[in-house]
Amino acid sequence: MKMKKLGTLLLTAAMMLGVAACGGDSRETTEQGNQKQEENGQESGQEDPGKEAGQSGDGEEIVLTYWAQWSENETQASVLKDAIARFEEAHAGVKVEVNWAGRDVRDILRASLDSGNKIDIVEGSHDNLSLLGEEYLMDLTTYVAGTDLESSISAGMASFAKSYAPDGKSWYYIPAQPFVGAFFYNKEIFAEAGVEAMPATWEEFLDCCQKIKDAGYDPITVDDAYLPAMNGHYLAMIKGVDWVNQLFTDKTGELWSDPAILQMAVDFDELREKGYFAQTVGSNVFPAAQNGEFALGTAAMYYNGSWLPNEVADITGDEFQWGAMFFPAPEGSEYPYTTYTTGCQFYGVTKDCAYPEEAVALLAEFTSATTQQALTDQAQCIPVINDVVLPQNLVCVGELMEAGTDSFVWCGCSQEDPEIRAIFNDAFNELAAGLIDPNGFVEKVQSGVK
Amino acid sequence: MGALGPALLCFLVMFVYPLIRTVMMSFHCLPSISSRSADWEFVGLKNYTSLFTSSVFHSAMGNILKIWLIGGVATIVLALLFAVILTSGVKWKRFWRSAIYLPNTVSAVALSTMWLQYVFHNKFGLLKQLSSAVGLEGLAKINWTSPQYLFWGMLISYVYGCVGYFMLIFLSGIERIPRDLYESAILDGAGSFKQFWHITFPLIRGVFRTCVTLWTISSVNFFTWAKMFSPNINVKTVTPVYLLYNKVFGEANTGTVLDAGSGAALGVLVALLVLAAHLIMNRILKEEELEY
Repeated sequence: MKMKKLGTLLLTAAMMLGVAACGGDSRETTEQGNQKQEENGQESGQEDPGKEAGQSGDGEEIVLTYWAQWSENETQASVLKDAIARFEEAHAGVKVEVNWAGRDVRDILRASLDSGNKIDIVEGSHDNLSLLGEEYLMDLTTYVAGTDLESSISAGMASFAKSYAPDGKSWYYIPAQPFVGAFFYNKEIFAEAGVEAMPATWEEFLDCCQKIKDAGYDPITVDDAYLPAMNGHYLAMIKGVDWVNQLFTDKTGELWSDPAILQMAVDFDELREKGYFAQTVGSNVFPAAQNGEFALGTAAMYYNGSWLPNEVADITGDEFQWGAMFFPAPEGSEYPYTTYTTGCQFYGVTKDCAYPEEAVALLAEFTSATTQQALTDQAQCIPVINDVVLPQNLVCVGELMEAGTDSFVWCGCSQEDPEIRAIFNDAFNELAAGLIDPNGFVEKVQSGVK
Repeated sequence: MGALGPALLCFLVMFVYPLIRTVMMSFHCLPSISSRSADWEFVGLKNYTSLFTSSVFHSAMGNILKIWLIGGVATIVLALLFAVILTSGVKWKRFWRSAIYLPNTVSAVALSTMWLQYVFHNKFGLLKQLSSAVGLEGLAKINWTSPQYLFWGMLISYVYGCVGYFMLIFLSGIERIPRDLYESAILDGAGSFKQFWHITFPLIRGVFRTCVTLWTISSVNFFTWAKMFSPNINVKTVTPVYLLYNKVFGEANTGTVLDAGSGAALGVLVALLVLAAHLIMNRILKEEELEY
């Protein structure tokens, strides 16, 4: 009987714990967080009078906790460890503890913050970290103002990072490592085919593809993983990112009857029909096309991000002549042809961080010329600051960014419903494989999303 | 009770609490699994009704049904066949046993990569080369990663990765059956098939039921292979857990609109599915009194 009672008690206790856990939250509310900041004089940028450099108000060592999106054995981690060592040397009494969480940080970060983990600096991709927003992250504008960090970050990346702030102009996110989406191409094949000027319009692009085909190469190849980046780029060029966001969240099917969808399908279908797509497009599962076609030199162009030269370095070797070109402007394009897509890893400082000045100083070290050059040299990263010397295989990306006059987010889309994406990907794969025609593509997506 | 207490507490905290929370979440709209309950918006059955009318959910359920039924029959038949052969006195039994089990020692990510980038490769894949070499040009022309065949390619490779595991379970069940039953059957003139049908199969019904239950659970939770065969979510290979993952955690660099409430509803449906399958299996494959 006693055992029965104890069991009932335990069960009740656990259920109450469940209910309480659903209702409670160890993380402070926004209001509490704001109040805490104001009490510390952080909101107004005031110094804590009892606090000396490198020490907390009570003289204890300052510990900054940084959750990295790199695994400890990655090159980026090695470079950042050196940066942390330099920072700790320059800031006596400040220690940085790193959780090398790796890419899985995107799945656990929010829950970790909600469960009360002390995390001062967080890192993640633009789409993921921006979900934290002002509810979790601190506005760093007052800490960044007038510092080397503010002046050194390139204008394009500063603008991109600020566009994710609630007001579109504050420093909630510090850009860490940008990337560029474009057509990467084999300069040797282009030269052999006699392509001299980069195609600016869709018509010129078709001419370029024909010359490459005549030279005996597949003009374009792409893997399934990057089809959404390529067709998203096209759609955003003619309709803008906001419209594409609406499209990929529209479950009524109405927006999917817009003529732009059919125009895109017709243009890509023409690439397939004329043999400008490699025959394998539509059935390439990443990285089959990247490694087996583009890197081996049977295909001339591959739509990808600026990490590509590093990813295929073992296959291409040093002799490969890298080129990067803008996406040709489709008919009716709202954007100039000199537009590239971009994305960026961001840093953020959490709202509960007690030492935002030190945290920003660490981020300044991460974005310093020394660290950025090391990241570029050792990990083939694109720098967030100007005046970094790029390795030979990334020079084309630097040139593209310099010539670029506009940019929008990778995939031309920053909001999408996973169900609509699943339907769209399936239909586009079938279109690229020639299993359905452009009208069939539109019908399939429309009927699927309704 | 003293000994049971810690285990019971762990069970309640680690299993019962998440279950209750997930069920509660499934009736709400919330952006993150760790959102405060104050931020939850009650939506009643909307998450469930939305799923029931979603064509992607229907595809996901259809896919796991095919995985469970077609993949299950293929896996269990092959596993049983290998187990029977290995217990029939075949030479180099230990070698064959290890060889068939070997794929299970490799991670699903590595194994699926091998199938995708080597066996199924549309230009120089093993399957294409072998088929051409033996004159099966029709088979050689099949592009297993094209939209028409992607699902079947995934299923074939998944079955390959699972057969060894189930073979070992059957093997242990068959080896427990006393040999004198077979000797007596041989004296009575029973052939191999009769021995299997009248001795082996009836005496491993319990093992068979265990295998079906394990296969059901793994089919319903099918995720890694689908993610590897379609890095971007795709109707052809989507499964409930893949859809759940994308709704709750999103896909990298694409700005997925997160919907943990819908994800929780999917989780509840998946759990109910496993429960229903288990009850049906128990009813169909009733426990036998005689078992080794």
